[in-house]
Amino acid sequence: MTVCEMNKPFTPRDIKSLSSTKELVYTNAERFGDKPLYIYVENKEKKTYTYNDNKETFDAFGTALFRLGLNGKTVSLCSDQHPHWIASFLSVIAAGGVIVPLDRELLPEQLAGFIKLTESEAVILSARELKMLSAELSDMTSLKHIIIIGQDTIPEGFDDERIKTFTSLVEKGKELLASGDTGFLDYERDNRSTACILFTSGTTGTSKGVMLSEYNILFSTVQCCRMVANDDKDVFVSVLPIHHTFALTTNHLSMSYLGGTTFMNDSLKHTFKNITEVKPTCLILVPLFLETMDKKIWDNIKKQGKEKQVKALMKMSNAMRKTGIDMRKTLFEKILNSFGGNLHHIIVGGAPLDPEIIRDFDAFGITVVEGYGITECCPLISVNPFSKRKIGSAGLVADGLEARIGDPNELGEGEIQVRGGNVFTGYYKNEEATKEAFTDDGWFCTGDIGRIDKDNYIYITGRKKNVIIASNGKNVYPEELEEYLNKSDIIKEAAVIGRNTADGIVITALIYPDKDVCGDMDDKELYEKIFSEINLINKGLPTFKHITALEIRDREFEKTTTRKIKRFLLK
Amino acid sequence: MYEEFRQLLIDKLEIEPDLIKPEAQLANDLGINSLELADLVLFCEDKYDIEIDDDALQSFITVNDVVEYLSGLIQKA
Repeated sequence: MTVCEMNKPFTPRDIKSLSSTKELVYTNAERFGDKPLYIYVENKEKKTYTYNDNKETFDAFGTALFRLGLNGKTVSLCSDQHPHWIASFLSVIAAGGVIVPLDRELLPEQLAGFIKLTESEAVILSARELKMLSAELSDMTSLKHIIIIGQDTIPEGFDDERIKTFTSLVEKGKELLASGDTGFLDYERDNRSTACILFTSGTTGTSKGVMLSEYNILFSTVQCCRMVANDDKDVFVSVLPIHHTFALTTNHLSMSYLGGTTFMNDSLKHTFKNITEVKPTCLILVPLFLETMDKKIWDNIKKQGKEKQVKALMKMSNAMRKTGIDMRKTLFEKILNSFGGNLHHIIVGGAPLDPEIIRDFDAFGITVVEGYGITECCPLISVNPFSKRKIGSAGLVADGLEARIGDPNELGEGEIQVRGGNVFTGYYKNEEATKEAFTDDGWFCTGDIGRIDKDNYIYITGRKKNVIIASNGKNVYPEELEEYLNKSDIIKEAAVIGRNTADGIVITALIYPDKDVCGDMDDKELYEKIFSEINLINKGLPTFKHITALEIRDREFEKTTTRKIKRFLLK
Repeated sequence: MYEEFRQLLIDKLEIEPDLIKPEAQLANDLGINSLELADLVLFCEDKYDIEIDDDALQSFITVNDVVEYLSGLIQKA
């Protein structure tokens, strides 16, 4: 059922456009000054980083980048979330460079591969990633500077003269500024040129580098501010990986432009504890978190034998709300207190969410708004405005963006295509993929299938691409997992699919074994042997990419004339 | 350690006891997601007064992986 909550059409908020990251940082400092932008944990100690701190760090680090000759150069960035991650991201862009945020769950050789592929002259990373890269560093001769964030000293055991700390560069930058060096301050970059490259998966062979301009990033930042209902009273706990555009644009850039304060979650282990202690007013999450929270709530209710009672209260409360009486804060106080007691709403994106969970949270007193985006759009395409949701929809097409359905069927469903200021400039060194991604008249083909209703709300009904969307919102590219599987001697051909089951999407390997290698193994032995190979692969992968099911086939896969497996036949 | 961890899975995550075996895969066989595992690990840290590295979470595939890791840490503590 679709519920439209108000009759009047939604009007986006009047939020001033931005033309540069410098404007974003300076405007924020002017407006919010010594207000905390971030609260974060370093060496087990809680620290505060204000809007003014951010401006000071941004100016000093940008100035140091100029002095190091890194203005206009490519710089890779890989660490856990930290205020200096954001300052680095913004400074490199403002210094005319290209920033390459990388996933810290990459394997060492993958991390090194992306740094080399992008011809990065510097890399900014934390001690953990430096240790990961230690064996690769001597080969990375084009890398001129290695900048450590998250600590003030160079990790022990490293005597590479390229290594320096972020904080030492900030100090150097401050000295240069004090002595009148205005190179960075005076510099203005072309905001339509590539400012950021984001890779879509784990290996350099299968990944596509999404090139975004400063204009794209800021367009999306402002667009998000116009569509949501947040303001400077909001407090967030950021739990999503910072290198993902969803967290980066929606949480870190947009919410800073609105004056919010974000607590940077220090560990997945501490997520629930931090939420209870920090008392956020809003969370920006992927479905996995809501699914787990919902399950936890109901498990607790069941353990207390109160399931019937709570369901009756939910019904009664919903009925009362229709008459204008809202008793949820009293009726569900315990549940709301487990989220700190101030949580007002949750913005969720990255993967589809069960509408039942949205209704559960609504009934308890927390509004869930769903959105839809894609890295190529930086990422916002649509979001349900807080005051005008349609449950089951991926939201209203964002302000300033156009969306249409390409070649719709009789139900109005077809590929979702978009056009606007947040749409990327192309894939890094991949003209063929760039050409394929756009229609002849310049619309970006998202690869998602859906329809758009009369009010301009998007409904997603399927997917044209091979990508599997995990419930944590991360993309799993079958080609990457197939690349690993195909390295095994016992596997002749491999295909990976996301099988839809009652428990959600299950990443399944379809394997045609090499009969010469398996010899006279029986079915059970063969299954166990291949699964042991899969487990070895899984050990080197983040959990969301784990292959958890195996199906062995006795025939080769049907292939195209170019010897590619016909994926559309895979079931 | 195995018996203690098995009981934790039953009590905290309501996993069907018959499904829990040393070789059972946490995600595939028991349906435990990364966030639930992280929550469980935090509980173990408090219970046994140990600290479990965030990166170790990624290497836990089976029940036995967790049991062996916890046993190793507790012995050192």
